[in-house]
Amino acid sequence: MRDFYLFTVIIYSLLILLFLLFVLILYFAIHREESDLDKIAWQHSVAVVIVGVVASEEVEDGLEAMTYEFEKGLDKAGYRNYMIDELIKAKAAFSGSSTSHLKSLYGRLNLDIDSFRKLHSLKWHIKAKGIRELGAMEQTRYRKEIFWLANDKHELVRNEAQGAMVSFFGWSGLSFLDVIEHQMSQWHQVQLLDKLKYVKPDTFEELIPWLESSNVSVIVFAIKLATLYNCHDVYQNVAKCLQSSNNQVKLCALEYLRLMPQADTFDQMISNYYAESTVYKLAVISSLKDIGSENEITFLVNELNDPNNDIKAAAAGSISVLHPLGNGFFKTYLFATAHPWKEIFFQITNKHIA
Amino acid sequence: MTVLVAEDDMIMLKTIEVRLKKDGYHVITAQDGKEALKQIELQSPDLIITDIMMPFLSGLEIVGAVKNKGGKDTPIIVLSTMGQENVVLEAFKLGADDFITKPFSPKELSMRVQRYAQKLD
Amino acid sequence: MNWQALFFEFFLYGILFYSFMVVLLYLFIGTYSTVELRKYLRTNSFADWSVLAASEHLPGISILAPAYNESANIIENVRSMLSLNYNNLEVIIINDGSKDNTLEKLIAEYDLQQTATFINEQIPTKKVRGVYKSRNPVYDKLIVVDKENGGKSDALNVGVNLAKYGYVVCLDVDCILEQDALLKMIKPFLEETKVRVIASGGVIRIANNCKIENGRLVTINLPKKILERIQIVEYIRAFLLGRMAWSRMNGLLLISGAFGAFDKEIVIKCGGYNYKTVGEDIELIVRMRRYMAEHKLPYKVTFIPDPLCWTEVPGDYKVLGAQRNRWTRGTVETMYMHKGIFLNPRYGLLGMVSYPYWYFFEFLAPIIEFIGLIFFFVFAYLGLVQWGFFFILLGCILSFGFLYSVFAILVEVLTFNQYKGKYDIFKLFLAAFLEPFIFHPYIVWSAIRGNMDYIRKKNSWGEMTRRGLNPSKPATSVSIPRLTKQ
Repeated sequence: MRDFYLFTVIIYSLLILLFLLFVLILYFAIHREESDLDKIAWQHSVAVVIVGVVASEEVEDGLEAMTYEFEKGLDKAGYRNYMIDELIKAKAAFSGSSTSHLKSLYGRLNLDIDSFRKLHSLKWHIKAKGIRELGAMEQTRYRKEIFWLANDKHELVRNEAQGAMVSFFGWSGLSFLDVIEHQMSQWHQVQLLDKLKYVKPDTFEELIPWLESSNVSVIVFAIKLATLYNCHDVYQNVAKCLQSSNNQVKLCALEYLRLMPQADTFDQMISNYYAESTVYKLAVISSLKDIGSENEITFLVNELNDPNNDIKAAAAGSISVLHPLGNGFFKTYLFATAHPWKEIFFQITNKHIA
Repeated sequence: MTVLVAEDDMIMLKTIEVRLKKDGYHVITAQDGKEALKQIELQSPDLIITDIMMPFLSGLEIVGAVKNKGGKDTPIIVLSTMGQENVVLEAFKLGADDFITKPFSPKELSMRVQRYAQKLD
Repeated sequence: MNWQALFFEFFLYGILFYSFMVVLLYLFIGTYSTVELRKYLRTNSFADWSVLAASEHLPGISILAPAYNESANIIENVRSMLSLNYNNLEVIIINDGSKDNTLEKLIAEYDLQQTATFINEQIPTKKVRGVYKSRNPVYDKLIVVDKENGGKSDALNVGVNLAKYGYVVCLDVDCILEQDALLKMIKPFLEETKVRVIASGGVIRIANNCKIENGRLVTINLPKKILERIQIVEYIRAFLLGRMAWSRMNGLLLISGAFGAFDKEIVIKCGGYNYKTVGEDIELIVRMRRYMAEHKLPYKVTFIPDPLCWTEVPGDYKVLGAQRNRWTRGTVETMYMHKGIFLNPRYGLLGMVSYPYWYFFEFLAPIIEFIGLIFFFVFAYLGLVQWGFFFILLGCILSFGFLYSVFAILVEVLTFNQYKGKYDIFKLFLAAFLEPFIFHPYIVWSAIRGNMDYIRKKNSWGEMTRRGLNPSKPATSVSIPRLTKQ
């Protein structure tokens, strides 16, 4: 029992020590947050410089706002990082000549070297940050290094590098799609598509090899691009994607076909219809509202008998648009007074009246 | 001409203030919706520039307050990052005179403000 | 050696062993979660939320918010939901047969008219009396469903049936969400390239004493009551540390009923929420996980540590006790329903780790503590207790507990740092110190009562429909402080 006693005293002392350690760490954590007057003053001078540079006609007018304290602060790496972050924030907030002033300031203060150095860090989040900074400040001269990082083993580094290439070169920045081995997440694809919002490519030749890529996410992305840019040239290539085994590819292809239909679109969509998932079927039926004609009515009426009620409802919706009688068709349907057709038809009929 | 600028981002607020002061206007600033409304009551500016997303009161609510309840016809320029159609429509429905989406060019803002200044003269 | 002393030795070593396991587990969770937290924070610093908010390419989300007798705050709460930063959104408020004027208030405020909407009843529910939409296009995101009273699960199932988008976010109507909450919640579903994310949970933060205006959280303050402060410490431990660690292992068993996002297709395939339990939130997750495991589909359940959802917590013992009683019953009901996965390798981590952990360290913990306490008194009476040793041991346990809470507070300060008041941290330390004395015993007692109530098979279903969705607020209570307004 005596040993036990000793044992617990030891543990107890360890606990007290650990506790003191925590308090110490906490003290530093809080101290970090507290007003460090120098830091605050420097942050203020950064704001003055940035405002000066953005609000002026010429960069030089703004640079006059740089004080001695400001320049001294730039000796500290932490302060320089803060400056870079503020420049990036400001560049995102404004447009026009102000942004080139900010870019010029970034270069003059040699902050691009700080960003470039980050690319060689072993820590992924530092690498990614460096890429982001260079991308935001349009430092195209580092494009080679960034391009190679588009295939980096860490996902975020890849995403940042790919994003930066698109920021730099727009459509031609997508050349990494030829070489990437990893899948692009949907989240990343959304971010890339947003970056391409204001880009208008001249040719779409590159889409064709992408639509046949061994990387499934590249195919999905290429279809989304074709859809975004209303590219009719690749119709056949996208239609071929309906044969893919991947659900996402098929659904994206359906969306493309819905927006850019041709004579054979319906036949392509239903070539393997009855083996497809419910989601696929629903997408086909809904798209008929936009691309269908009276020829498809037989097919749709058949779908009114599908055991799945969502399909029934979708079919009814499309029929109401395509049928020459419009909603009048519903009265002629055999089961019009039975559940669930009664409620489905009622909803559609009343929506149109309202 | 007196211009009121309501914007919660410090750098953006200061930039607009500095730019407009350079152009020769008298500028009042507010960092949130409540303060903005207070200043509008007190100083009756000739032009209002307001952000949409702000603490306490949104820019849209300020437009509504000035145009409909205040009975004034002070021109209002609305700034926002949200380029969503329904926000734009809502702003115009409430009576806003102009709408600028962020990111915006300070030079462009300055030109637009000049148009209003000229109208006033 | 007489049998009493033998029994005492056995008992002592048993308790020690159990405590030792608990300590190890906490140490593990503490370190493991911080690694995951750090990764999350770093990854999220790269997302451009303001750009994404306006994106046309993000999948649609249907918010489902059941409401029962919420007329006091329903307008503000709905307004808060409608102002969320997300493009393809629909907000479905399900009026679960409220006895007050919740529905009337909504109809008046949002200019609602009844529409003929076909609901595909993929999950059977109680009767829907009407579906309402606004005449005003500004509110075209809003749908209000009026139905017969059926409890929270039933209301949510109606919402699932009606939802048009592929992702549903189930939300307690009195929760305030941050502006970017939906963006942050949808992200895990879109980030995974290898497996399917079927559900994602969020952190519940405590809104007591916080300033809320126009349905938006304006200022975060530390609550005034000590009970509420202790709950803050408890929630930080549970959410930031506990759930983060489990999420990393993909062993997360619980997504808070107040705020969670789900893949609608899987929810429907599993049959929706179970109305036979008060722990419908846990039960659904367990069932969804079972479904995926049984069909051998790779999947993940994730967790977002960002403070996204704020709600009020009980401020007095009575309400707190009722809440914890319900939680216990919900957990026990769920565990009993799914006892087939206990140590069943077919269910992988869920069966071999998550469920056993839950059983031994969450379910049994209050029981063991309680029994331990009784035996302690017995042995003390019999004079078998070595008091010196006992106090050292007690001191150790209390210190460790306090240390762990301090660690949790530290993690909170270093990550999201929501409490910036000058002495807030120290107030939280004090709360953590007092917890084992004024809070924990009551929680243990509530859990014991919960177990007893479960065994008596109290009609929890009936209780819920009488008390509405939030049994922590007994129907007789008139005004429990709601979202503080100033």
